[in-house]
Amino acid sequence: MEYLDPESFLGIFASAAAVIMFGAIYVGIFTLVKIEKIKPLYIALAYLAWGVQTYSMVMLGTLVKSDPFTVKILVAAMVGYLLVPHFIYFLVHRTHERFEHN
Amino acid sequence: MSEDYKEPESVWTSNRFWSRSAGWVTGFSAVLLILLTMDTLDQITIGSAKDLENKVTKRVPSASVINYKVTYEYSDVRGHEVPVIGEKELFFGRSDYSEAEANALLDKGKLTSQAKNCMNCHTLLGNGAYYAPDLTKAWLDPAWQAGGVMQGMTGTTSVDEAMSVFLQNPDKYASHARRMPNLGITPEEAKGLVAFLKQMSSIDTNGFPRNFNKIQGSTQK
Amino acid sequence: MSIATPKYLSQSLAMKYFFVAVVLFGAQLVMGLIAAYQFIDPEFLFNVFNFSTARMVHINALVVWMLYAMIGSAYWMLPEETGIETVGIKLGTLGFYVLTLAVTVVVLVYILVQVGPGTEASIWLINEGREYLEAPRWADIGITVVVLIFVYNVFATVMKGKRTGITTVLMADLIALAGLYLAGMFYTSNITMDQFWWWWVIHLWVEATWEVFVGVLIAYGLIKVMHANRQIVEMWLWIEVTMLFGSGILGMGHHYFWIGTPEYWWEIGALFSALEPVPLVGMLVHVIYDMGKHNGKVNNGPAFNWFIVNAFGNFLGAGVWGFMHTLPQINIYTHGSQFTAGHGHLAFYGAYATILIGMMYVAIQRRNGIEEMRSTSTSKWAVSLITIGVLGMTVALTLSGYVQAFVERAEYGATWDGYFIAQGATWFTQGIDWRLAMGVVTFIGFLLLVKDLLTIAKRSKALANS
Ligand code: HEM
Ligand code: HEM
Ligand SMILES: [Fe+2]
Repeated sequence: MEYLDPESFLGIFASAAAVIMFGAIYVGIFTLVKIEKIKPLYIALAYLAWGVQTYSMVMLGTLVKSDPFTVKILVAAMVGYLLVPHFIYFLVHRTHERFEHN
Repeated sequence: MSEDYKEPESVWTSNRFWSRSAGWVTGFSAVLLILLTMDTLDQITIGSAKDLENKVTKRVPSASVINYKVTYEYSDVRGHEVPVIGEKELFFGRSDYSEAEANALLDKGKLTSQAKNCMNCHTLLGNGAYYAPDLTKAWLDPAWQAGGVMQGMTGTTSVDEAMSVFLQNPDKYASHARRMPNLGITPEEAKGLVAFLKQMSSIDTNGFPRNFNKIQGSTQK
Repeated sequence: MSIATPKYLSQSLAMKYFFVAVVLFGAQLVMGLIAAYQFIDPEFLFNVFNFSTARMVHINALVVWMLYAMIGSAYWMLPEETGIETVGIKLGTLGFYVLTLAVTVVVLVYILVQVGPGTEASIWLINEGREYLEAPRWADIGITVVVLIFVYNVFATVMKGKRTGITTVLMADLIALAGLYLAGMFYTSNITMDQFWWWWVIHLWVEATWEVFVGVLIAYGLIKVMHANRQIVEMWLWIEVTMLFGSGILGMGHHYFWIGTPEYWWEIGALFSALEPVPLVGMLVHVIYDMGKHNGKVNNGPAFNWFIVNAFGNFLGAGVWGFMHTLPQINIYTHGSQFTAGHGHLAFYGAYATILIGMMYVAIQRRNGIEEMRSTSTSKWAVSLITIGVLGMTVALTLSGYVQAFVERAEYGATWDGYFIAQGATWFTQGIDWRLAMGVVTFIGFLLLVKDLLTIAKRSKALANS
């Protein structure tokens, strides 16, 4: 395991926190759009948050000196995360149709 | 997801599907954990005196390690520091403790560490409280070695003696404003504790603590 | 449909459990204040009531009050979910008195005897000296017996009454939770082995079984307080169980980086614990979703507020603060530092204290047949001050932990000297001072909480009658 530069500690903690925070902001906005609490246009903000999250993840991976392959895996994981809320709302939508419209 | 599309028995929206998934995922994780645990238990079972004699490296060496010199050295293969067990070394004047004697000392020390609640001020292997220094490698700490502050203060000439004297009256040998309290530790308990600390320092902790000793400039590459 | 429920004995028992939980919560905070003050003035009660004793009671009271409130919540929900009185409730009530007597004796021994000689007898009679599991062996056995009675109550009732998704998860989860306690009940002189099993209890409690319990409480709360649709809520619950256990069980690897266990835990711990925040994001979004769907119409203001703080607190304390130090590359610098303490505070508070307090408000409302219980200004001050206090302590400790990572670990190589140099660094001591100040804020909030819990029912009734 590589030694880290103490100078990069701040960046590491900040990017780690950002990964989770922007992850929540992404699905949070996504949800509000889905339940029609805010205008559909805001979906752009959701994807922007996902972009920032992905950027933070790459930054975190780089600062902790992961090898390039691991960083690629991280990006792949982020693509997976992009899809998760779509799938969840597909489910919720179906469930509502089943249990609330009859 | 068209508006009037209806599929009453879709698996996705059936609780049966999801409760089964929960069961399978939990079961799978639990089985994996158990398999890994079996392998880990095998690797962390305490070694024997024979292992030490034959230079077989164990993650958790036998209590008989008190008969040997322990150091913490950078390993190029592992990429971090690892404990290295060297030549024989005197421990309270002897280096011929039988395995049974050594085990009894370790047992006394571990029991005392629990009865005196060490873990609610210190960390052991990094777990515990944060009011006092980590004890994982205390045995190897420069503060306790020749020339370190503790031998001078306790008027002793070896790490084992310094630790033993200190532990019996820690509030008298304070190095900082935050003192260790007097816990009524007897000479016998102190000896056990020192054995426990020495054995703990020989455990392979995957390089924790990192760059230990860097301040002395000794072992970091 | 009236909110008033028949007077189930199970729910009377729940109120008893809640009452003791609040008393222990208070004891926890007082001990925390003493310990925090000793960081600043180490001579305070030195050799009389040492830091180790104060801290032991602080964290042990924490674990025990949460278990009390969890047991209370289960006894509360059972008759409502199953539609019948809890089976074996007399035995359960007897168990409560036995347990409370045992807890009282244990705490008195902690405070008066504190430490014993280094023998097995000390571990059986005084304290076991293992963080969070300090209870002496005799009490462990007693606790196990009482918990078995409790599990029997739940099991028999669920089997006899109406079976719901909520009770199914509850039952399975409680059996796992109780079983895990056994992993912490033996002695070994091998410290690595000791800590290996110790984490089975601690981690598999707080990051698996307790989280699932929270999932159950959220499900129940959303149905009762916001009238959410049961089908959807239960589907979510199953999905959450899948994600929580799927990440949390193997996430245990993040405690096996440095205790003598093999290196493969680096990868396993990093991968699975990095996934642990996902279900927490899920829970947060679930609450936002139902809030939006039901336009914030709630019948219990204070409970609702505590549920919201739970959703955010769980996410922040466990999700964000947990993820920040969970990769081995980072953890080697923060392991066992004030950073850990910061995370521990926000996570335990955000994930557990909040929702359990919310459940107490739910119980008070329904016990008193109050159709709509609004927040009083005391309720609002209580939740705000406690939350600001704990958040403030966490930020302060994070600052101190950062200094430790930087100075003690990176610069001075984690030695005895390095430790004390970091402890004396200006930014470190600032963090420690602010922790105490924020602890006082927390405590004031707690006093208001007690006042509110004791008076809100009367005030709500008076309001309804006027
Ligand atoms: C509600 C859930 C959680 C609670 C109550 C909780 C609580 C705690 C506590 C009290 C400790 C310190 C244990 C000790 O005294 O040694 C700890 C350690 C730790 N927690 Fe959590 N935690 C939670 C969730 C998480 C999550 C989701 C993650 C990761 C994403 C995480 C990562 C860690 C790590 C890496 C440590 C070890 C810190 C060290 O090396 O010193 N925790 N947790
Ligand atoms: C009045 C407010 C509080 C104060 C002043 C306080 C103070 C402290 C102190 C001094 C410690 C010892 C840390 C160390 O070893 O260096 C501690 C540990 C701990 N406290 Fe608190 N505390 C307070 C409230 C809370 C609350 C509300 C919770 C959770 C709901 C909590 C949970 C914990 C935990 C889990 C630990 C162990 C942390 C670890 O080992 O990482 N405390 N607290
Ligand atoms: Fe954990």
